[in-house]
Amino acid sequence: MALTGANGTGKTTALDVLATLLLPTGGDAIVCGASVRQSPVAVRRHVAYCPAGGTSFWPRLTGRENLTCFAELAGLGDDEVRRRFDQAVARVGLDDSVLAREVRTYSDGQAQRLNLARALMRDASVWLLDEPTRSLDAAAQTATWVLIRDAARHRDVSVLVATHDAAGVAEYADSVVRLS
Amino acid sequence: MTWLRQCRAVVRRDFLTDIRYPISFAFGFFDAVIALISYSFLAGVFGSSRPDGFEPLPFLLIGIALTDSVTTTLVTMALGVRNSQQAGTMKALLALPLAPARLMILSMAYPLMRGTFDFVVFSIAAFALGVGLTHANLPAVVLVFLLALVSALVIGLGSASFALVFKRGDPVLWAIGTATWLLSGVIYPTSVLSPWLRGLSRLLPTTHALAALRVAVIDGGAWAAIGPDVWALLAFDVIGIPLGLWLFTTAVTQARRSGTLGHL
Repeated sequence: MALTGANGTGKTTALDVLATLLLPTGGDAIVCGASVRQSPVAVRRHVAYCPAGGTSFWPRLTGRENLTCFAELAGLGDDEVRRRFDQAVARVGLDDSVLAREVRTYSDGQAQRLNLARALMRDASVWLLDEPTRSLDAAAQTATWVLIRDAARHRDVSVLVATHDAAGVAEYADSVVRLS
Repeated sequence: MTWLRQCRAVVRRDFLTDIRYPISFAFGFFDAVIALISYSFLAGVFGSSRPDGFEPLPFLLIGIALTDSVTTTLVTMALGVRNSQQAGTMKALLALPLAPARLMILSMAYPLMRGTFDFVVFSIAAFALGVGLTHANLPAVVLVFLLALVSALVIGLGSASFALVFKRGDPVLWAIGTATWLLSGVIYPTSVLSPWLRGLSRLLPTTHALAALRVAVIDGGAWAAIGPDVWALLAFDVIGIPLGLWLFTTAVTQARRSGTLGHL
């Protein structure tokens, strides 16, 4: 499902509430049976969250070190981290030479792919992706939408995307909600 | 096992980040060397006077060693949160299935190791400068040192909570750092302070840590002699850690409510 709409209509706010990063001012949201108000940690077990842009990494760590650290903090074991790391980076197309570099040297596109790889490594049933095609050229945008769609089908997860690219996402999303 | 793996991940992250700022890392070490040399010269100025009954050189070196270790622990802890906000990783971290309190407990590991490393370096340097450690009550030294570092973590938690809500942790660091240098007996005994300042100094954990550590290192510290200071440190830590974790969790909730978790 895609959320589209102009700036300030609440796309990121909706994702932040579902990721338990923002408390709703009223009401509640239930993710996989858990309340974002009452059981935020339980919600986060089901959710993989990609913040907008590719800047949510430790800049002095390499791509590999960043992904490994986030996966270990999420509770994955060593073997599982290695297995999922190989699968995730292969799927997003990040090679060893890129992964061995510090993230501060990454282009926007590489950082976005690293962002997606981090979500792929989680054992989550819901992906919340905020502007996953921001700063990408047209070809890279299309590749990213294909990647998200295929990865979601392969892993059988639900994906909620916030994007300004209403035209681009329409081709790949099952449903598009326009916020106003 | 999960705890251990998570702890290892955080320590590796912090260590790698630390050493990839090599100039900053080297200057930290250089600062410590300069401090040691300065204080060994300063010890000569004391002449035959004995602050609190101790030889001047060990008195000063223990003061600088402990204060440096405590400051390193405190600053590493407090800056960790600030750096996460600046790097944009705070939101990504808090979106993981970890309670904020657990995240902060994990974040204490590397600052503790850095503080301990600094203390070991200072101890070796003090030994090289002729400070005898043969009389030291080692179990007491280790206990007092660890309690002192934990007290630094408590203050670090307060500073991190402040940074999360108000986006600047400097007032807490500044106030505690200044008060420690001024009042806790780092380079002069607290007995030279006026009675009301001495009363204030008793509120600072470093005052108790320094008093107990000097007795434990130089005099071989009978437990009875250091007991009151150890109890004071223990009380500060036992009350402070849960209070600090509660404060940080409250700060996260407040930032979640106001939507400023990822803001600088």
